Amino acid sequence: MIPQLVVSGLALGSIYALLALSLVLINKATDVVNFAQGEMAMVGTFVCFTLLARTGLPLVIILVLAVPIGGLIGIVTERVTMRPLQSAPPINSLIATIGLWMVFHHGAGWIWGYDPVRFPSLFSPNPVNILGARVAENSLGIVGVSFLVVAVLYVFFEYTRAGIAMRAASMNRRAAQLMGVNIGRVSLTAWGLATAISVVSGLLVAPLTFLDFDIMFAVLLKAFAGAILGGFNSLVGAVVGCLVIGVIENLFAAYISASFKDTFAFAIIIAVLMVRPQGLFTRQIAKKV
Amino acid sequence: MTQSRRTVLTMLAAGVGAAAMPRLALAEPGVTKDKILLGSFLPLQSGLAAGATQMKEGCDAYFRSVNEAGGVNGRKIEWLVENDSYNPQQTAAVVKKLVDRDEVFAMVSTLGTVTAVAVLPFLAQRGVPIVNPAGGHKLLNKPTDKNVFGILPMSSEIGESMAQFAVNTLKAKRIAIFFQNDQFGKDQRDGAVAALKTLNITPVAESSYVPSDVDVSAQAVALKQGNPDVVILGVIPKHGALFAKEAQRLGWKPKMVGHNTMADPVVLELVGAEALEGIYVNLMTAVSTMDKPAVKQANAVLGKYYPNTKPGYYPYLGMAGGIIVVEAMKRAGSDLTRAKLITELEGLGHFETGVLPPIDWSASYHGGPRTFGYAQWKNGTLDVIQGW
Repeated sequence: MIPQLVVSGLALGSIYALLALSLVLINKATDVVNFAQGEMAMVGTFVCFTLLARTGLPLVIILVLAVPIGGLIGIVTERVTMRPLQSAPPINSLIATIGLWMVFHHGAGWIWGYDPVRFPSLFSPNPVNILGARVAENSLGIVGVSFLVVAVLYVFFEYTRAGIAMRAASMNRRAAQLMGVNIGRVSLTAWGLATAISVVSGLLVAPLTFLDFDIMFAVLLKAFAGAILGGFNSLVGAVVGCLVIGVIENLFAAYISASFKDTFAFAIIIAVLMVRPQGLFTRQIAKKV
Repeated sequence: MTQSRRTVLTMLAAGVGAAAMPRLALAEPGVTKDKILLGSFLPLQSGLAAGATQMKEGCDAYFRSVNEAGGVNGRKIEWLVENDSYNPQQTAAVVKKLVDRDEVFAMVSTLGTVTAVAVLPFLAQRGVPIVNPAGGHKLLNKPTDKNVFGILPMSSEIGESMAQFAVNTLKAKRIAIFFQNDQFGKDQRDGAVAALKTLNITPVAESSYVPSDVDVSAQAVALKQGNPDVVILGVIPKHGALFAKEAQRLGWKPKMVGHNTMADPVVLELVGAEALEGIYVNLMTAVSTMDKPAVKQANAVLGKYYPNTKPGYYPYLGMAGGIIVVEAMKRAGSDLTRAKLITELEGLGHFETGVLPPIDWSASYHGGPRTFGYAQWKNGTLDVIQGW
């Protein structure tokens, strides 16, 4: 029983992780906490679903197309709603993302209806046996994609000019600007990249949980929890945080109470924040006052 | 001063009189020479939106078919539906609008428990009949208000029935329960546990989920540990489908008995025939494959006006309210009043809508049916094994 729970917890955690990566990415580059990330992923997934149903293209092609589709959603959102708020107080962008959450959430219900739909999977529905636990191939795919994305982003942030510019912009916007970093482009890149990743995550999640307008709500909450656990500024931290949440949640649901599993996950976050407010994976940054 | 006060008073009196005039002139709210105005509040923008839309389409299709055939005693039905977003405050506002501004004659086929319970006192005070407030509360399903007529059983009665079916028909000794952790699911769970207790059986395992859960694998594993013969499912379609898929993945094949929601065609679409094979479903509405003239008629009506909506639980539920209210209004004759409608509804007695188990209303009982059917999923179709 335990291996089954741990393995399906890891699979669940990596669903959260992909979305958490998008959250951290935008936060790292632009200091915005994007509450609409899950809904943007959901809308992108619905666009892919429509494309799939209308054109009958192979799923692999759709998965590849998800990147530009997500990128476009991110870029348009950034230009239309976030860019004008760039020099406003941070609370403004925060409220704007909550507004975006509602627009995307209800807009999707309005356009695509409220019934869940079945989304085909790239992987075979037959489970694979790992250490006596039966795991859906799709879950393994998600784990694989999560790690791939982390690796690519790591290289991007550490070794490319654009990545370094993003980190600089996040640390001190004005100084970065004075050093010649184009803040607007940084913000645009971050939103495009993050939304592309989250749409890919949507395509991987949908076959497991069915696609509907509500699909990302719980995922977003847990992704936040995982990202906070990891420090909200560390890509690896976010992934590990989400995996921890997934496993704990599963074990708690099976052995203690399924009704309180969400409460328990969040109680852990509060405890961590009290003991280690910077999260498990980020160094505390002391600010001179 | 005195003069002006008198003027004001006179004007006030005249104003009140003028406002009251049109009301006195009207025979009955919502009833004119060629029209009957009915109303409803539905959560068309909420988590329940899918069901609400289907319910609306089921009822609306029926009204349109009645209108096309000439209406009710020469009057056409107009049905005003307002969205309440599943929010009781909004329900209060839209119901006040429907009753006071639009002056609907009666409310028909609403959806939502808390939302309906919130407006019952207002409807009772205005004497507005409400037929088929779909939800799970004794004020709706076993109403005591003179103006309320429920057509659904209590959730606890469904739970009881599923437990009895598991023990008596499926000969289960070890029973597990998987349920939604809110009133909808918990009442079913409590009913099942109570019924099992009278048979000296305690469930071997219980587990629950909340509607926002994206994964029920831990719950499935926990229930599997209890090694049950039968799992009772007090669930909505999405999570019932997730559970069936999870059981399939674990290679676990207990017998399952589910709430009527597991008969929803959307469940089949979501998980496919293989995962559903053999699952028993409690029926409190018809299923589209039933070989009954009333069901075929209902499917034809829905197919004519809403060809994209598949017949099933919610469309039938909405339509049942329409069928009942139309029948009672026909019997009430051309001099239609709310009091007459209530008398005729009570006088329906043992009445078959065909899409629901028969209702059995009287002056002392306004509650839902007390009989259920059962069906079983076989090769992607529902095979009715016990009618009502």
